[in-house]
Amino acid sequence: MAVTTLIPFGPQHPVFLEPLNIQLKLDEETVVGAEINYGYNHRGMERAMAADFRRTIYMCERVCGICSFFHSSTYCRGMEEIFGIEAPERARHIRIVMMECQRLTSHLLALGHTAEAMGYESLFMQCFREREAIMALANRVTGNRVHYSLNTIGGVRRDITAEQKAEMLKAMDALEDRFAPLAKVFRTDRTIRRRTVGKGVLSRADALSYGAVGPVGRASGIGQDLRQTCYHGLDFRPIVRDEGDSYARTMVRVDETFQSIGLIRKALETMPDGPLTVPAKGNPSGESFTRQEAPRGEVMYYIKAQGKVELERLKVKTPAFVNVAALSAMVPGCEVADIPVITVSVDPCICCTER
Amino acid sequence: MSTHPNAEAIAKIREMSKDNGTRLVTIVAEEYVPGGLELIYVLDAGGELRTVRSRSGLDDEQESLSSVFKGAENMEREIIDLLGARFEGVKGGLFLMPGGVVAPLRRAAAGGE
Amino acid sequence: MTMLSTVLRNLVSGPVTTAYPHAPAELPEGNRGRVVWDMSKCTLCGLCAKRCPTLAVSVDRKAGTVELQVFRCIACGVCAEVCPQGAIEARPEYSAPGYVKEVRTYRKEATAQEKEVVIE
Repeated sequence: MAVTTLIPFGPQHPVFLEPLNIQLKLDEETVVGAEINYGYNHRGMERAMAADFRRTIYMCERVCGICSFFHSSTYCRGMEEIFGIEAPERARHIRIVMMECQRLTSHLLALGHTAEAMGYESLFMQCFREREAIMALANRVTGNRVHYSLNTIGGVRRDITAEQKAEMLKAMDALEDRFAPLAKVFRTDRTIRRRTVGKGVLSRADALSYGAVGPVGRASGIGQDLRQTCYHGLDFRPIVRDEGDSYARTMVRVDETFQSIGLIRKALETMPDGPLTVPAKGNPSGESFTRQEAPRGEVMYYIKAQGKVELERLKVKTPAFVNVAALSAMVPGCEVADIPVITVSVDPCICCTER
Repeated sequence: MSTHPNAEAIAKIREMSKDNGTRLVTIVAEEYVPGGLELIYVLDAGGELRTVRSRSGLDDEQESLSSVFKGAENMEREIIDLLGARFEGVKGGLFLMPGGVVAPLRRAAAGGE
Repeated sequence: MTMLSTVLRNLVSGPVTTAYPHAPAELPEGNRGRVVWDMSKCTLCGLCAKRCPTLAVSVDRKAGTVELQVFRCIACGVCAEVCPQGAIEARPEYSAPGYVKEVRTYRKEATAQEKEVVIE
């Protein structure tokens, strides 16, 4: 008769950046079941954000520290829909450029973290070194490394000057040059392949059932990327693979990094001149559903406003919420030593999951 | 066997899910009038957002969507925690611990801001 | 072997880390960190306090002071944008830690004309 052992993975674990608890049921070294326990990072943000719709712009940036500009852009687009205004063309281009910058920092963090989970410290350091260049660039353009505070309802608050544009294009060339050998390591290194190929497979049916989005969904064959509908005129095509294992997820992120560099260049070249904001007067009233493709997947904001400064309901749907739940389908059948790498390859953002 | 107030919405979603490209985005729950619960099931069908709404009392037991989409279970657990609703076969306790805050998104709880 | 080119390049170039705080911080000029008030331009209208998203600013018209709770300030720059007199500026700085939650008070000194009225 098999004896199963129960091991708690987390909430404090060197591999985790944020607290999450997974109760692993083990038969010798093989995982036969997993139960995910949340609740270590719940801040009650949905109720706090509904208190004053002007303060919410700054609060929703702080839901997550890696995809903060995506939350802020989605909220502002939702409020613009309720007010019945549309941000000017230049503001939308600036939003695209800064969103892709933040996607670069997020993917470099995820890749570095994947390397770290395997113990490949030097690759982790190199990824973060490239990331520093982008954070410094964002600091110069927006005034802050992570929480850009660039959005306002109706547009953006700061412009990208011609000087900053030239600097960004130079930084993109440098990044492409320096990241190419690191991408080759991720693609071809024998140890990395042995620890990721065939591990943590998420089948397409399971991915659809859990609603997996972002690189996790695209690595399992679900070919949806919301940027197809949002990025007009930038000729965007999603990157899809069908193996569904940790290697596929890592490769989707590596390819998306190069894709983002190309998107930033195109968006900067085609940026039109014009105003930066459109005024939004009075109090909002109405309902809206807005979506955006954050680095981890789809972010959706449901806003219901009632004609007052307080919003009636604000619901934030984050990609990590569905991707972390999909972990319970990836984990059975794997060995205990594979679990850290599988968990990190899903790129969990617990502050997004639990808001 | 009493039918749950959202049984019609669940049947509609079950129909929609037969098309292979439909995905559950989220379930939005709100106390739209004092004591009334509105559930908005947001689905992505081929890239477009579709919503299915269901309204009932806040304390009625609702049917769970987890038999159609496995991802719905965590969403329903969150609604149980934050609004104190009830779903058949689903236990709360996702984010909130016993002995702490109870149903913080209810209007009655919004007294002390 | 694919890391070899990166390793060799790193061997011949210096370290990428800076010795902050022993070396000065390299902050770009657009960075927002420290919010300062120029009280010669401030008219104590209170708009900055009304618009601050974290309620970090409080304006006392009777005492003539503007108080900033530094640990609440997120350096978003909204106060600097809405001030009708242009009296507020967000300067580059790293947020410093502290033993106590710092509160900075800016006092508006009475001008020579106002002082004369008081003496009479």
